[in-house]
Amino acid sequence: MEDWFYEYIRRIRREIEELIAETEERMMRPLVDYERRCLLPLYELRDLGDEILIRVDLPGVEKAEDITVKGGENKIFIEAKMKRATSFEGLVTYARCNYQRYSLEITLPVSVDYKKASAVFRDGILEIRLPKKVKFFKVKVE
Amino acid sequence: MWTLYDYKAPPENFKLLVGVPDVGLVGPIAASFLVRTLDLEMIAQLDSEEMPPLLLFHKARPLLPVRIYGKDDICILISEVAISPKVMPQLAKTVVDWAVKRKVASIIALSGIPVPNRIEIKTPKVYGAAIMDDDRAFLERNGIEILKEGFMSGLHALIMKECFLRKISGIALLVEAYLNYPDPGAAASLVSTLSKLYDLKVDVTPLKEQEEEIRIKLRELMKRTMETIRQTGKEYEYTLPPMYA
Repeated sequence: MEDWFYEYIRRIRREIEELIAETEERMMRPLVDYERRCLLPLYELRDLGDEILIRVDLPGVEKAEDITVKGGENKIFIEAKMKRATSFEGLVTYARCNYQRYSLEITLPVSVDYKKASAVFRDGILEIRLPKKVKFFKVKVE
Repeated sequence: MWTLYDYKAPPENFKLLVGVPDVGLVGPIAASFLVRTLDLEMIAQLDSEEMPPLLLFHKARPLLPVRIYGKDDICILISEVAISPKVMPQLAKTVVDWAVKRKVASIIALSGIPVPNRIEIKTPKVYGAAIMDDDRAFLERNGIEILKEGFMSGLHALIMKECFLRKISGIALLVEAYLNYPDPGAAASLVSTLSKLYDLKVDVTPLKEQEEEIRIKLRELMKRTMETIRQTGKEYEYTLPPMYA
Protein backbone atom coordinates (compact mmCIF):
# COMPACT_ATOMS: atom_id res chain seq x y z
CA MET A 1 0.00 0.00 0.00
CA GLU A 2 1.15 3.54 -0.74
CA ASP A 3 2.76 5.63 2.02
CA TRP A 4 0.31 8.49 1.45
CA PHE A 5 -2.56 6.16 2.34
CA TYR A 6 -1.05 5.18 5.72
CA GLU A 7 -0.30 8.82 6.44
CA TYR A 8 -3.90 9.70 5.56
CA ILE A 9 -5.27 7.05 7.98
CA ARG A 10 -2.84 8.19 10.70
CA ARG A 11 -4.02 11.79 10.29
CA ILE A 12 -7.71 10.81 10.52
CA ARG A 13 -6.99 8.72 13.62
CA ARG A 14 -5.06 11.62 15.22
CA GLU A 15 -7.90 14.04 14.47
CA ILE A 16 -10.53 11.67 15.92
CA GLU A 17 -8.43 11.15 19.07
CA GLU A 18 -7.99 14.92 19.45
CA LEU A 19 -11.74 15.46 19.02
CA ILE A 20 -12.56 12.79 21.64
CA ALA A 21 -9.99 14.27 24.06
CA GLU A 22 -11.38 17.79 23.52
CA THR A 23 -14.97 16.59 24.07
CA GLU A 24 -14.02 14.66 27.22
CA GLU A 25 -12.09 17.65 28.53
CA ARG A 26 -15.04 19.96 27.89
CA MET A 27 -17.47 17.58 29.63
CA MET A 28 -15.27 17.01 32.67
CA ARG A 29 -14.05 20.59 33.07
CA PRO A 30 -15.73 22.40 35.98
CA LEU A 31 -17.45 25.69 35.13
CA VAL A 32 -14.97 27.65 37.22
CA ASP A 33 -11.46 28.90 36.47
CA TYR A 34 -9.69 29.48 39.79
CA GLU A 35 -6.46 30.76 38.22
CA ARG A 36 -8.35 33.54 36.45
CA ARG A 37 -10.91 33.93 39.28
CA CYS A 38 -13.87 33.64 36.93
CA LEU A 39 -16.89 31.46 36.23
CA LEU A 40 -17.58 29.82 32.88
CA PRO A 41 -21.14 30.49 31.72
CA LEU A 42 -23.52 28.02 30.07
CA TYR A 43 -23.93 28.66 26.36
CA GLU A 44 -25.30 27.21 23.14
CA LEU A 45 -24.07 27.60 19.59
CA ARG A 46 -26.42 27.13 16.65
CA ASP A 47 -25.75 27.11 12.94
CA LEU A 48 -28.62 29.01 11.30
CA GLY A 49 -27.40 28.50 7.73
CA ASP A 50 -26.12 31.94 6.85
CA GLU A 51 -25.13 32.90 10.38
CA ILE A 52 -23.94 31.47 13.69
CA LEU A 53 -26.09 32.21 16.72
CA ILE A 54 -24.48 32.08 20.17
CA ARG A 55 -26.58 32.40 23.34
CA VAL A 56 -24.78 32.82 26.66
CA ASP A 57 -26.49 32.67 30.06
CA LEU A 58 -25.03 35.47 32.20
CA PRO A 59 -27.06 35.63 35.44
CA GLY A 60 -25.96 38.43 37.74
CA VAL A 61 -24.80 40.67 34.90
CA GLU A 62 -26.86 43.85 34.94
CA LYS A 63 -26.18 45.78 31.76
CA ALA A 64 -24.67 45.51 28.29
CA GLU A 65 -21.80 47.87 29.24
CA ASP A 66 -20.49 45.19 31.62
CA ILE A 67 -19.94 42.77 28.73
CA THR A 68 -17.01 42.62 26.31
CA VAL A 69 -17.15 40.52 23.15
CA LYS A 70 -13.99 40.12 21.07
CA GLY A 71 -13.25 37.96 18.05
CA GLY A 72 -10.06 36.67 16.50
CA GLU A 73 -9.10 33.93 14.04
CA ASN A 74 -11.82 31.31 14.52
CA LYS A 75 -12.52 32.15 18.17
CA ILE A 76 -14.80 34.45 20.07
CA PHE A 77 -14.04 35.72 23.60
CA ILE A 78 -16.70 36.90 26.03
CA GLU A 79 -16.00 38.64 29.35
CA ALA A 80 -18.70 39.91 31.70
CA LYS A 81 -18.80 41.45 35.15
CA MET A 82 -21.57 40.61 37.61
CA LYS A 83 -23.13 43.42 39.66
CA ARG A 84 -22.15 41.64 42.87
CA ALA A 85 -19.89 38.75 43.80
CA THR A 86 -21.35 35.29 44.23
CA SER A 87 -20.10 33.49 47.29
CA PHE A 88 -18.95 29.89 47.15
CA GLU A 89 -17.47 30.11 50.64
CA GLY A 90 -18.70 26.72 51.80
CA LEU A 91 -17.27 24.91 48.79
CA VAL A 92 -13.66 23.81 48.96
CA THR A 93 -13.75 22.89 45.26
CA TYR A 94 -14.37 26.56 44.48
CA ALA A 95 -11.42 27.47 46.76
CA ARG A 96 -13.98 29.16 49.06
CA CYS A 97 -13.74 32.26 46.90
CA ASN A 98 -16.18 34.86 45.68
CA TYR A 99 -16.50 35.19 41.92
CA GLN A 100 -17.70 38.29 40.12
CA ARG A 101 -16.67 37.69 36.53
CA TYR A 102 -17.50 35.38 33.63
CA SER A 103 -15.06 34.42 30.92
CA LEU A 104 -15.74 32.26 27.90
CA GLU A 105 -13.80 31.29 24.80
CA ILE A 106 -15.67 29.57 21.97
CA THR A 107 -14.12 27.99 18.90
CA LEU A 108 -16.27 28.79 15.87
CA PRO A 109 -17.04 26.02 13.37
CA VAL A 110 -16.71 28.34 10.33
CA SER A 111 -15.17 31.69 9.36
CA VAL A 112 -17.40 34.62 10.22
CA ASP A 113 -17.61 38.25 9.18
CA TYR A 114 -16.89 40.10 12.43
CA LYS A 115 -17.68 43.45 10.82
CA LYS A 116 -21.32 42.43 10.46
CA ALA A 117 -21.62 40.82 13.91
CA SER A 118 -24.35 42.01 16.28
CA ALA A 119 -25.14 41.31 19.94
CA VAL A 120 -28.11 41.92 22.22
CA PHE A 121 -28.25 41.49 26.01
CA ARG A 122 -31.65 40.89 27.57
CA ASP A 123 -32.83 39.31 30.87
CA GLY A 124 -29.36 37.97 31.64
CA ILE A 125 -28.93 36.31 28.25
CA LEU A 126 -26.44 37.52 25.64
CA GLU A 127 -27.31 36.72 22.03
CA ILE A 128 -24.57 37.12 19.41
CA ARG A 129 -25.20 36.78 15.68
CA LEU A 130 -22.18 36.19 13.46
CA PRO A 131 -22.82 36.17 9.69
CA LYS A 132 -20.79 33.51 7.87
CA LYS A 133 -18.07 34.60 5.49
CA VAL A 134 -19.08 32.00 2.92
CA LYS A 135 -21.54 33.46 0.46
CA PHE A 136 -24.31 31.24 -0.76
CA PHE A 137 -25.37 31.21 -4.39
CA LYS A 138 -28.78 30.51 -5.83
CA VAL A 139 -29.42 27.85 -8.46
CA LYS A 140 -32.39 28.35 -10.71
CA VAL A 141 -34.67 25.31 -10.65
CA GLU A 142 -36.61 24.63 -13.82
CA MET B 1 -31.87 -2.12 40.89
CA TRP B 2 -33.00 0.63 43.28
CA THR B 3 -33.33 0.26 47.03
CA LEU B 4 -35.69 2.53 48.95
CA TYR B 5 -34.87 3.11 52.62
CA ASP B 6 -37.95 4.61 54.30
CA TYR B 7 -37.96 5.93 57.83
CA LYS B 8 -41.49 7.22 58.23
CA ALA B 9 -44.78 6.38 56.51
CA PRO B 10 -46.83 9.19 54.98
CA PRO B 11 -50.56 9.31 55.81
CA GLU B 12 -52.94 7.50 53.44
CA ASN B 13 -54.14 9.48 50.42
CA PHE B 14 -50.99 11.59 50.31
CA LYS B 15 -49.82 13.40 47.18
CA LEU B 16 -46.33 12.66 45.85
CA LEU B 17 -44.64 15.47 43.91
CA VAL B 18 -41.64 14.47 41.77
CA GLY B 19 -38.88 16.99 40.96
CA VAL B 20 -35.82 15.54 39.28
CA PRO B 21 -33.30 17.25 36.95
CA ASP B 22 -34.68 17.78 33.46
CA VAL B 23 -35.60 20.75 31.24
CA GLY B 24 -34.37 23.99 32.90
CA LEU B 25 -34.04 22.13 36.23
CA VAL B 26 -37.55 23.41 37.02
CA GLY B 27 -38.48 20.19 38.89
CA PRO B 28 -35.65 20.24 41.46
CA ILE B 29 -35.79 24.06 41.84
CA ALA B 30 -39.54 23.94 42.59
CA ALA B 31 -39.19 20.81 44.76
CA SER B 32 -36.32 22.11 46.91
CA PHE B 33 -38.10 25.45 47.38
CA LEU B 34 -41.24 23.60 48.57
CA VAL B 35 -39.23 21.32 50.89
CA ARG B 36 -37.70 24.40 52.58
CA THR B 37 -40.85 26.55 52.58
CA LEU B 38 -43.22 23.84 53.84
CA ASP B 39 -40.54 22.62 56.27
CA LEU B 40 -40.81 18.99 55.17
CA GLU B 41 -38.72 16.29 56.83
CA MET B 42 -36.80 13.52 55.10
CA ILE B 43 -38.83 10.30 55.18
CA ALA B 44 -36.96 8.10 52.66
CA GLN B 45 -33.79 7.83 50.57
CA LEU B 46 -33.12 5.86 47.41
CA ASP B 47 -29.97 4.26 46.09
CA SER B 48 -28.86 2.20 43.12
CA GLU B 49 -25.58 0.43 42.41
CA GLU B 50 -25.82 1.85 38.89
CA MET B 51 -25.69 5.45 40.11
CA PRO B 52 -22.32 7.26 40.06
CA PRO B 53 -20.29 6.54 43.23
CA LEU B 54 -21.50 9.60 45.14
CA LEU B 55 -22.36 10.51 48.70
CA LEU B 56 -23.67 13.98 49.40
CA PHE B 57 -22.92 16.06 52.51
CA HIS B 58 -25.29 18.88 53.50
CA LYS B 59 -24.73 20.88 56.70
CA ALA B 60 -22.00 18.32 57.49
CA ARG B 61 -24.46 15.40 57.41
CA PRO B 62 -24.33 12.57 54.83
CA LEU B 63 -27.25 12.14 52.45
CA LEU B 64 -28.09 10.07 49.40
CA PRO B 65 -28.72 12.32 46.38
CA VAL B 66 -32.23 10.94 45.74
CA ARG B 67 -34.61 11.44 48.65
CA ILE B 68 -38.26 11.76 49.64
CA TYR B 69 -39.44 14.48 52.01
CA GLY B 70 -42.86 14.71 53.59
CA LYS B 71 -45.25 16.27 56.07
CA ASP B 72 -49.01 15.93 56.41
CA ASP B 73 -50.37 14.77 53.06
CA ILE B 74 -47.58 16.17 50.86
CA CYS B 75 -44.47 14.18 49.92
CA ILE B 76 -41.76 15.32 47.51
CA LEU B 77 -39.21 13.20 45.66
CA ILE B 78 -36.10 15.20 44.83
CA SER B 79 -32.85 14.31 43.12
CA GLU B 80 -29.75 16.46 43.45
CA VAL B 81 -27.95 14.66 40.63
CA ALA B 82 -28.77 14.07 36.99
CA ILE B 83 -30.25 10.61 36.56
CA SER B 84 -28.94 8.41 33.79
CA PRO B 85 -31.66 7.16 31.39
CA LYS B 86 -30.37 3.61 32.01
CA VAL B 87 -31.58 3.66 35.63
CA MET B 88 -34.78 5.67 35.05
CA PRO B 89 -37.22 2.78 34.36
CA GLN B 90 -36.30 0.97 37.57
CA LEU B 91 -36.42 4.21 39.57
CA ALA B 92 -39.91 4.96 38.25
CA LYS B 93 -41.07 1.43 39.19
CA THR B 94 -39.50 1.61 42.68
CA VAL B 95 -41.03 5.00 43.45
CA VAL B 96 -44.50 4.08 42.19
CA ASP B 97 -44.33 0.68 44.02
CA TRP B 98 -43.58 2.53 47.26
CA ALA B 99 -46.27 5.14 46.63
CA VAL B 100 -48.93 2.48 45.88
CA LYS B 101 -47.92 0.47 48.97
CA ARG B 102 -48.30 3.62 51.05
CA LYS B 103 -51.72 4.30 49.44
CA VAL B 104 -50.92 7.39 47.43
CA ALA B 105 -53.81 9.51 46.18
CA SER B 106 -51.98 11.06 43.25
CA ILE B 107 -48.46 11.34 41.82
CA ILE B 108 -47.63 14.74 40.34
CA ALA B 109 -44.53 15.02 38.16
CA LEU B 110 -43.01 18.51 37.83
CA SER B 111 -41.08 19.31 34.69
CA GLY B 112 -40.66 21.73 31.82
CA ILE B 113 -41.42 22.09 28.14
CA PRO B 114 -38.56 23.73 26.24
CA VAL B 115 -39.87 26.69 24.26
CA PRO B 116 -37.68 28.58 21.76
CA ASN B 117 -39.22 31.97 22.64
CA ARG B 118 -38.74 31.64 26.41
CA ILE B 119 -36.83 34.96 26.56
CA GLU B 120 -39.98 36.79 25.42
CA ILE B 121 -42.23 35.14 28.06
CA LYS B 122 -42.68 37.04 31.33
CA THR B 123 -44.88 34.48 33.11
CA PRO B 124 -44.32 30.97 31.77
CA LYS B 125 -47.52 29.00 31.21
CA VAL B 126 -48.11 25.65 32.91
CA TYR B 127 -49.62 22.81 30.88
CA GLY B 128 -51.03 19.58 32.25
CA ALA B 129 -51.27 15.95 31.27
CA ALA B 130 -53.12 13.34 33.30
CA ILE B 131 -53.80 9.63 33.26
CA MET B 132 -57.33 9.67 34.70
CA ASP B 133 -60.34 11.52 33.26
CA ASP B 134 -61.14 13.00 36.69
CA ASP B 135 -57.65 14.52 36.92
CA ARG B 136 -57.94 16.08 33.48
CA ALA B 137 -61.28 17.60 34.49
CA PHE B 138 -59.72 18.84 37.76
CA LEU B 139 -56.87 20.53 35.85
CA GLU B 140 -59.22 22.11 33.33
CA ARG B 141 -61.50 23.41 36.08
CA ASN B 142 -58.45 25.17 37.48
CA GLY B 143 -57.54 26.78 34.18
CA ILE B 144 -54.69 24.42 33.20
CA GLU B 145 -54.53 23.71 29.48
CA ILE B 146 -54.32 19.98 28.79
CA LEU B 147 -51.68 18.66 26.41
CA LYS B 148 -53.62 16.66 23.84
CA GLU B 149 -51.03 15.38 21.34
CA GLY B 150 -47.37 14.43 21.36
CA PHE B 151 -44.69 12.50 23.17
CA MET B 152 -43.33 13.00 26.66
CA SER B 153 -39.84 11.82 27.63
CA GLY B 154 -37.70 11.52 30.74
CA LEU B 155 -38.34 10.24 34.24
CA HIS B 156 -41.68 12.06 34.54
CA ALA B 157 -42.83 10.20 31.39
CA LEU B 158 -41.86 6.86 32.96
CA ILE B 159 -43.63 7.72 36.22
CA MET B 160 -46.73 8.63 34.24
CA LYS B 161 -46.39 5.35 32.34
CA GLU B 162 -46.27 3.39 35.62
CA CYS B 163 -49.40 5.24 36.80
CA PHE B 164 -51.10 4.42 33.48
CA LEU B 165 -50.22 0.70 33.67
CA ARG B 166 -51.45 0.48 37.29
CA LYS B 167 -54.50 2.68 36.64
CA ILE B 168 -53.69 5.16 39.39
CA SER B 169 -53.82 8.94 39.43
CA GLY B 170 -50.82 10.53 37.70
CA ILE B 171 -50.49 14.15 36.68
CA ALA B 172 -47.64 15.90 34.87
CA LEU B 173 -47.36 19.66 35.24
CA LEU B 174 -45.09 21.03 32.54
CA VAL B 175 -44.04 24.67 32.47
CA GLU B 176 -42.61 26.63 29.55
CA ALA B 177 -38.87 26.84 30.24
CA TYR B 178 -35.36 27.20 28.87
CA LEU B 179 -34.06 23.78 27.89
CA ASN B 180 -30.42 24.27 28.81
CA TYR B 181 -30.32 27.07 31.41
CA PRO B 182 -31.57 26.77 35.01
CA ASP B 183 -34.96 28.50 35.00
CA PRO B 184 -36.13 29.61 38.48
CA GLY B 185 -38.72 31.94 36.84
CA ALA B 186 -40.41 28.91 35.26
CA ALA B 187 -40.11 27.00 38.56
CA ALA B 188 -41.90 29.91 40.29
CA SER B 189 -44.81 29.55 37.83
CA LEU B 190 -44.92 25.85 38.61
CA VAL B 191 -44.99 26.46 42.38
CA SER B 192 -47.75 29.09 41.99
CA THR B 193 -49.83 26.58 40.02
CA LEU B 194 -49.24 23.84 42.61
CA SER B 195 -50.14 26.24 45.39
CA LYS B 196 -53.43 27.06 43.66
CA LEU B 197 -54.26 23.43 42.77
CA TYR B 198 -53.52 21.94 46.17
CA ASP B 199 -54.06 24.95 48.45
CA LEU B 200 -50.43 24.96 49.62
CA LYS B 201 -50.44 28.69 50.54
CA VAL B 202 -46.88 29.21 49.31
CA ASP B 203 -45.54 32.65 48.41
CA VAL B 204 -43.06 32.44 45.53
CA THR B 205 -41.49 35.88 46.18
CA PRO B 206 -38.39 34.42 47.91
CA LEU B 207 -37.83 32.10 44.94
CA LYS B 208 -38.00 35.03 42.51
CA GLU B 209 -35.60 37.01 44.70
CA GLN B 210 -33.05 34.18 44.59
CA GLU B 211 -33.38 33.76 40.83
CA GLU B 212 -29.91 35.01 39.82
CA GLU B 213 -28.10 33.12 42.57
CA ILE B 214 -29.91 29.88 41.65
CA ARG B 215 -29.02 30.37 37.97
CA ILE B 216 -25.35 30.88 38.87
CA LYS B 217 -25.11 28.00 41.33
CA LEU B 218 -26.97 25.38 39.31
CA ARG B 219 -24.86 25.73 36.14
CA GLU B 220 -22.90 22.54 36.87
CA LEU B 221 -26.04 20.45 37.50
CA MET B 222 -27.59 21.89 34.32
CA LYS B 223 -24.51 20.87 32.33
CA ARG B 224 -24.63 17.29 33.72
CA THR B 225 -28.40 17.16 33.12
CA MET B 226 -28.00 18.16 29.46
CA GLU B 227 -25.74 15.13 28.98
CA THR B 228 -28.58 12.87 30.19
CA ILE B 229 -31.37 14.76 28.39
CA ARG B 230 -29.59 14.05 25.10
CA GLN B 231 -30.06 10.32 25.76
CA THR B 232 -33.72 10.35 26.88
CA GLY B 233 -35.40 10.68 23.50
CA LYS B 234 -36.20 14.36 24.09
CA GLU B 235 -36.15 14.81 20.30
CA TYR B 236 -39.39 12.80 20.21
CA GLU B 237 -41.16 15.70 21.90
CA TYR B 238 -40.77 17.53 18.57
CA THR B 239 -42.07 14.52 16.62
CA LEU B 240 -45.69 14.35 15.57
CA PRO B 241 -47.21 10.87 16.08
CA PRO B 242 -48.25 9.47 12.67
CA MET B 243 -51.78 8.69 13.94
CA TYR B 244 -52.44 12.43 14.21
CA ALA B 245 -50.40 13.81 11.32
